[in-house]
Amino acid sequence: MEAKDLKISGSGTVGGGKFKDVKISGSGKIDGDIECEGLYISGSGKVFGNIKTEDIKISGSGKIDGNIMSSNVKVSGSAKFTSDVCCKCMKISGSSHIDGNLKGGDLKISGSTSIDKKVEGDKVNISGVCKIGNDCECEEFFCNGGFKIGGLLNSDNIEICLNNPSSVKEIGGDKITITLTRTPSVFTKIVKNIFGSNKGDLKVDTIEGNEIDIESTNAKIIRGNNVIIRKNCEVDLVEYKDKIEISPEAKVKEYKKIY
Amino acid sequence: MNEEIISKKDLLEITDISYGQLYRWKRKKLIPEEWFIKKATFTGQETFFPKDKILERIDKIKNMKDDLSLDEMSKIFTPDFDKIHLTKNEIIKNEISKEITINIYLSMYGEKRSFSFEEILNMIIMENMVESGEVNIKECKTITDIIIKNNLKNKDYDIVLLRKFGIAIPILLSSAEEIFTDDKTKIIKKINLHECIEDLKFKISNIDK
Repeated sequence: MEAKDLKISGSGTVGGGKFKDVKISGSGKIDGDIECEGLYISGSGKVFGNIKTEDIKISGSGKIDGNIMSSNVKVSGSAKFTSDVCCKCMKISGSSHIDGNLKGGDLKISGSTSIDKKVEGDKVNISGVCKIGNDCECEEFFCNGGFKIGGLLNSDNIEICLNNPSSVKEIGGDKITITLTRTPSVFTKIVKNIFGSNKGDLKVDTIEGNEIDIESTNAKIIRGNNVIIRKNCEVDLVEYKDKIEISPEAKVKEYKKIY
Repeated sequence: MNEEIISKKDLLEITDISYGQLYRWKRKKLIPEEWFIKKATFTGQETFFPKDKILERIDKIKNMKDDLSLDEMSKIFTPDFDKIHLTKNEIIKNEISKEITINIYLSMYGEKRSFSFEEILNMIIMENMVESGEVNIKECKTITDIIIKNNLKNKDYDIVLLRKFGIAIPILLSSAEEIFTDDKTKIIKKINLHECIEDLKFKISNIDK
């Protein structure tokens, strides 16, 4: 028998099951695991169960109390995920909270999102502010904004443009670049002059990589092959293999060439 | 087992690999997370590795990386637990379970040359229960029978053993559930299946390859 659509509008509670498309508009609830092609929540829908689907779209404030396996996840508004989310492609704009782990391919976060545990992905792109409880592992990490990562940021290519105070325990990778966001617009410059600029900076214990080029970073130890320390950096120790460049506007307590 | 450890810095120097490579191999799980040992030194926190294990592993990776992709190598180093088979000696040698447990298991389920992941998991649960001193071997068998019958390997369940009037009843229930009993029923032991599974996977991953 072919699966049917499930539509809840208004407030009602329905059991889970296998469906084609599931649509909740209003404050409907689904109690039980769901297997479907698409799950669409607009309003404040709640799902109490695990979800296996191709597409999830939440606009409004959805709550999903269970693990999610979906190809695409799109959230605009504020969503709460109490367990793990596993997907290929995710776009979050607005504010969302994932209590568990986030595992995906292409993760785009704009707005403010918190993930309590670990983030694993291929490409992680943050514009806005993102909070990750444990480690973040990916191949590419782009951030234009700010972040707080409780553990290790481990990525091949890391490009961070700061305009918010940020922190991470350790950074490890191949090419690591940290700069302050350059704001070219005249309006923004006026705003900054009136209200004071939104200072971006990064606090980190250790940075280890091959090519390191950083600005406005406060670090204990930096280790790399080629290291460039630009202005507003405060570093206790730099150990470099090949080249080092330290700006006169940076404070480096000690640096040494190793092997 | 006192293994010699080597610092990350010395490791990179000896093996002539870069930070980029080390972190990439860590992401691809070619080097187990558990081998990254953090210790406090006078310079702050530093990372160390079990010396023999890491040198051997890096040597293998260097030899393989021209022929295999990182993802292919990852499959070799993180075993597919469904396909694992260990002999009695391997189980004892790697401190996964005790000889006496294996013997008891053999006496219950018959002679076997090697054991699958599930069977080893059952042994560990049995060992766990018996060591608490609250469960006898016969009661253990009822527990392992349920696990075998219901094929629960991948779900988050608690194994709870209740006893009333001397009769032991094992129950498997979803980890999030609370259990309420009457006065005469005692909850003898509760084991989380997921934790046992992760623990066993960790032990198996650490077996020398």
